[in-house]
Amino acid sequence: MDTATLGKVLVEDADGKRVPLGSFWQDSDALLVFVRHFACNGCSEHVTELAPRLAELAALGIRTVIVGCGNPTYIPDFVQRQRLDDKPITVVTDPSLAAHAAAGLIRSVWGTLGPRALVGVFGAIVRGHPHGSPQGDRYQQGGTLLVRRGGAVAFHHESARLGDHAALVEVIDAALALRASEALV
Amino acid sequence: MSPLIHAANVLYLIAYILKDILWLRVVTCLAGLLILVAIALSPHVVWEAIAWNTLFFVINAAQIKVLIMERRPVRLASDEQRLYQLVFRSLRPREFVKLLAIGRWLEQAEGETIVRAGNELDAIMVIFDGKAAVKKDGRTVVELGEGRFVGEMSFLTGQAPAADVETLTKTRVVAWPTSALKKFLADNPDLRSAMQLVIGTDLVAKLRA
Repeated sequence: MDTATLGKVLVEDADGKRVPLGSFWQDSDALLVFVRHFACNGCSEHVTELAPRLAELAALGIRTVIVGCGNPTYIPDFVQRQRLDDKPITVVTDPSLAAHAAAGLIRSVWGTLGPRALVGVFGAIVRGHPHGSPQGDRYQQGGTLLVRRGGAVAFHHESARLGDHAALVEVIDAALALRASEALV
Repeated sequence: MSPLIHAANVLYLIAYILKDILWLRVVTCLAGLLILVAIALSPHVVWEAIAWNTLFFVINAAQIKVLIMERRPVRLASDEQRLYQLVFRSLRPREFVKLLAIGRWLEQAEGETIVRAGNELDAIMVIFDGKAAVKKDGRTVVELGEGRFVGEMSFLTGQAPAADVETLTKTRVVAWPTSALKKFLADNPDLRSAMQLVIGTDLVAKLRA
């Protein structure tokens, strides 16, 4: 994983302000959660699971950033729907998909329409995450990246399909290990 | 036979209305018993029906036992209660009891080195009573008191400690063997999340000290 290339990709926030993705791991470690698109119900489920642990990640010195691939105008609705307003999290997007590609994430029709993906869609619906019209590229798959300050990758998960997410306990373990490596005992 | 069948089905109806899984299973068991009696009393006993209903009854009865065991009130000894309040409040009491079951209470004399720099550490500890000092090259870096973890760096990273830990007073700790705790947390994902918060909070406090 070449975070130097990834770091140069420009992402946009809800106000249309463009910043290089690398600015998020310039001064602190960063957890990048690449969602498929802003209305993906599998991603909604993943973010819902992540939300209660954002304060914990922030306390560990990890900056959490959600990277979407839809139009920036979708961001405010996404933030409101996921109840992220008061959470220590930044939501940005890159409709060109350059960020997702530089992170090594796949774009796959099978990952969106294959049988396991469909099971993921229905499973998420049953668990209270309705499926909406795509707000971004429907075939782009997501992933999770924990990047140390400076650019070294501490954790990497590429989603093979809708509903395939990094286990949150594994992500938190990686974050804990980052901080623990600075301790003496 | 007919009144028994009707009574059993009324019980099934009641079971479907119940939201509490324990009572749902209890009422289902009673209904199943009535069905079994009804079949046994019928002129032509259908053994297949008896076998299946007995199987359902046994599964439900076993699950009822599990639910009752899980719902029993947890009684902690005074030291356990204190440790729970000190460190593990984010765990449910029953989870805490399970966690304690794989740990060991140890007493260390004053001046004892409980962790040596460079030596592999195969346990993570919590100080229950007493005080210890983290020493790097003979110099005290930080003092750890009650409720503080010792060895979480090694537990989380697998690396050998980079400092000694020496008791400053007679000290009582609870120690968990690393491999046993890792296996335990892998088998109990909910508890793993809670423990991540507990260890993370301690780690952050230690790094800020």
